[in-house]
Amino acid sequence: MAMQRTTSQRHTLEGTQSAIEFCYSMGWSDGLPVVPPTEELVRQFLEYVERDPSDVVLVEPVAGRVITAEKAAANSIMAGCLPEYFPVVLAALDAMGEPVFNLHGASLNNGGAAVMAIVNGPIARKIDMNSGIALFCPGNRANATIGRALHLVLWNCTGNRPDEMDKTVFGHPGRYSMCIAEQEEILPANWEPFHVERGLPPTSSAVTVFSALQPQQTGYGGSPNPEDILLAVADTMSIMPPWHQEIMMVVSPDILAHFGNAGWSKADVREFLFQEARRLGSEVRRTHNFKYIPPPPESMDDKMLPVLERPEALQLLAGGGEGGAQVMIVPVYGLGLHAKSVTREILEAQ
Amino acid sequence: MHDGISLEKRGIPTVVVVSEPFIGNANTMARLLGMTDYRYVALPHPISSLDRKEIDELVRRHFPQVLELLLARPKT
Repeated sequence: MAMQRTTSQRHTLEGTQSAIEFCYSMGWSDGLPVVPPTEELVRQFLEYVERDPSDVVLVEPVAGRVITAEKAAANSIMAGCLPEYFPVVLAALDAMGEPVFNLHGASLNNGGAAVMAIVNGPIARKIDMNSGIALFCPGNRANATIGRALHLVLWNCTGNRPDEMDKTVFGHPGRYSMCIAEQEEILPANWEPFHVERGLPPTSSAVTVFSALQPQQTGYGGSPNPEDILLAVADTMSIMPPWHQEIMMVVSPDILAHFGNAGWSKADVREFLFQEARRLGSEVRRTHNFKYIPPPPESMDDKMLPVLERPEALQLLAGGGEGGAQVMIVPVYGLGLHAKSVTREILEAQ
Repeated sequence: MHDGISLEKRGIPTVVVVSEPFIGNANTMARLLGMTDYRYVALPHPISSLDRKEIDELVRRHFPQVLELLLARPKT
């Protein structure tokens, strides 16, 4: 197909090493080396998705900064992506532009959130993503570079860096990269994959993005009984502020097998944790310091306040390795009230 | 900053107040919105941990500056 000209500035450099060092000198790197985005590679990425360089793929909603397909391609290349990953990156960026994602507030405040991406459907297998052992670890190219590409776009295109707009006090290690695939094949019989719950067909591919706060790993291997396992999970959750509208939880294969054997549905797990993950109102009130919600009134001092605003606030995903009854709890920024997860179908050019 | 500049562009006199660690962000946002020399009030940090008396004192000290900016015509 005939493509428009790419418009980014050209720099001529001798050899790969000097190009990498040049990218550092321009401030384009997150600290790790980047792949120099040559014109040839940018064209290859754009041709793979059949997009023109000037196509707008994300408009930063507050400052109005426009990110084109050309810039998205350049950052994906710098992150180390292959062209086959680019449809995932583009769908994720599109989702991040959705107002409820709250890109500005969630990425530039003085707390510390990272963009986490979850990939579902056939594309995860096609590009060989990790959904299993060492799920949140380095080692898988697609997981590592798709997550990195999203953060490089924020770094280079939306001012999500300390010398521009970022005011995070500590930040978040996930800002290097935080991307997983759901392990759909280990879901118990009555559990739907995450994207299907979001209304997409099981045969479709999708990416879900959200502003992730610090993950908390917990679990209980002392019993196959879902109640025993989930009481331990509820204990870990109970120190969180009350009334979350969204919390992500990745459940490991061992625990899913126990749930499957006991015939527990997603709804059963949600209801149990809604009832059990609670904290006394007086304890919540004495340290209440959240601007998102008013403190609980004294009349609630004797009540047990739920961490989940309602059972459905808990988003359940399958993933991780065998050999440990673990879950990874990932809270959504701002209690899921001021920022929400967004799911987008990944459309591949035919 | 975004709100203040947006209101100012609609002709509504506005004063933006930030605390000192946010000066860099304020300047970046002003630049992005095309009002590089937009003036604002910068207060010492921190604010959220002050008690009522200290807040009142801070307001008394900086209110003349707020008034001055409110009555000045911004360069657009």
